[in-house]
Amino acid sequence: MHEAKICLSLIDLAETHLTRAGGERITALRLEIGDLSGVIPEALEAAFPICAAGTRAENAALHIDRTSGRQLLLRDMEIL
Amino acid sequence: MRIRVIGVGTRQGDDAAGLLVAEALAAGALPPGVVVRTCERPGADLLDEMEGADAVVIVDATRSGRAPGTVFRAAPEEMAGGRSLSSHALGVREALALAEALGHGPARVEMVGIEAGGATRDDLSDPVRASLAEACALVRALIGEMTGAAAPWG
Repeated sequence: MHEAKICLSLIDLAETHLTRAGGERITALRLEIGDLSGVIPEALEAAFPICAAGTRAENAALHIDRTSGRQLLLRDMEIL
Repeated sequence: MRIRVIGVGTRQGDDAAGLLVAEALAAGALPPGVVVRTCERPGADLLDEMEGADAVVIVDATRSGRAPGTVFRAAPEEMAGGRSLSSHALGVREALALAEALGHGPARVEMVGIEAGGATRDDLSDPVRASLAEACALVRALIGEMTGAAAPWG
């Protein structure tokens, strides 16, 4: 269940970057999720559309790269 | 069977109805396995409150267009949605959708709506205050239905 909170935090973070960059909306997000991060990529994918609805990341494409290690990283994003 | 009653709302006027119903229920006798909680920030917090429950009864003030003080079993789309403050401020609707999507949703979710009147701060409006007892009775009836027992308590 904690993926929902992580997803909300990621969207918050992405929106902060978007504001800083002076963009209007986020069209794609790329995450790196380590196998020891404790985050289940499938759960994050399931939570994302619901968490993103109504935010500036609504309808953004979510790409997840699975890596080894503990990291959970917002690797890059595409904005308009 | 782990049943959780969750009163949702804020302390602002009629929006407090769900919290007050939960507090009234918690003050009375409840069958074993029933836990009453309040949640003033639905969304991610509501997910935490639901976690591990087999069945959940959510009590919340609604603005569905019914007469103020109407107590009813609500459909998910009649519960407050929206995310006014920040992306952490999911509504009840979104929280339920999330629980479902993550496969952690309780097997059974019942929603009790109390239609709000005009009070937006401080005290409840009269029709809403008058409906609290009815809302408590409906929650007790739902618990009885879930546990398969009549309601000898409270």
